[in-house]
Amino acid sequence: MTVHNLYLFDRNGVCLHYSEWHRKKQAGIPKEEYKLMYGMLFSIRSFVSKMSPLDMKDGFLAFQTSRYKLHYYETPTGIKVVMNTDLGVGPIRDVLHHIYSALYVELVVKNPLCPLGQTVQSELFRSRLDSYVRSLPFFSARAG
Amino acid sequence: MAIFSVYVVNKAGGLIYQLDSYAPRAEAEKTFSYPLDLLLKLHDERVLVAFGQRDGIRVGHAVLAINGMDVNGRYTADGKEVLEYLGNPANYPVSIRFGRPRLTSNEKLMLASMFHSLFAIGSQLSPEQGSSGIEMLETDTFKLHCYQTLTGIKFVVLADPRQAGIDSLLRKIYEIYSDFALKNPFYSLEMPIRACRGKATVGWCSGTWTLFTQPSWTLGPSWCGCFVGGRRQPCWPHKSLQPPRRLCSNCSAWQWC
Repeated sequence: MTVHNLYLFDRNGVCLHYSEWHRKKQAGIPKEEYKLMYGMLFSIRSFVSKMSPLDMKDGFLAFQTSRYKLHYYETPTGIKVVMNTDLGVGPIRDVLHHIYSALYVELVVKNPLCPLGQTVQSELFRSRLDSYVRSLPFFSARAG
Repeated sequence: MAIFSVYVVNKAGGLIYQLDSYAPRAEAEKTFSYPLDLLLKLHDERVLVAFGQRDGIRVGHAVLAINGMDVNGRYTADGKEVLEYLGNPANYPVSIRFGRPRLTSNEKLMLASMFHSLFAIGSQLSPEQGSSGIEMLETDTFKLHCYQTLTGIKFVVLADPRQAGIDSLLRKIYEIYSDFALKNPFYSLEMPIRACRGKATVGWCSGTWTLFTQPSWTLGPSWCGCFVGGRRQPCWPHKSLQPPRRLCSNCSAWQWC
């Protein structure tokens, strides 16, 4: 059980933050990958709202393939937290919510020196996020 | 209903089969007086709620019926425009039924193709080598399971999130597809699958494979009454098909098969 990588997007599709822990396959070009990821999530959200037989409350939660599972959390302000993990990981909506509320809001939004709407430069945010993810019960230091 | 719908998508992304089996979606019928406290807008030939939420009516719900009569897209049953009708104070009080709009066939086609692309992108964005496409997509109201065969056909099932055993259901649907669609000599690959009712089937009659038309619902051999070589020959339906009562083209008589 492990965490592969984490993306943070804002409502306009700007990738605010990306960090990776175990990643075996690199994407082509990083900037294109962020746009592709955002576009895919936008399309999945619209797809799910049309397909759903009942009114949805939380919307799209996660998807999985044969090798990884992508977990998704979106706030009402349009901030999207996306985490790719191993298949053995269950629902981690509260983890993603903690990343938003206790890390992003506290360290970036409330920081007057951090401009919103662009990639987060704050080293404090990066290091706190890294230590939080490493402390998660489903994170194992060795890959695979 | 535990299984909401089944979609079969060909390798080009086109929808070739679709089945919906969920119970009617939640609908709310209320009586309103002028002015309407919901904001309605026209979208895609339907009148939807753009703003305003009360008593089970949500944003995105469509106007399904006015005063008990079903609306026809943006027009009422009498042919008047819905928005115009509801804008006229003389028509009030009016009883309007709202509910989640059902998908039209066109929308289902588009959604199937959209899923086909999302499936491929899911495998491209993988942080691990050798990932397949999206096999399971989870939301709070349904779970979508997808099985892609080696030939590129995708079987997609939408089910209740707590429903188990969908993997074996997908394999079973694949089995049924290969038995009833692929083994049907009149089925063209990658084309939409038509229901077998009322279609031509192939059977063995009087020592030759012939076309049976107008099938109904029984199973077994039938006696044509054809005399070939001085003996009555039985009509056998092809074993991969469900044979009904049919019109044998050899002897033009109704057979109970």
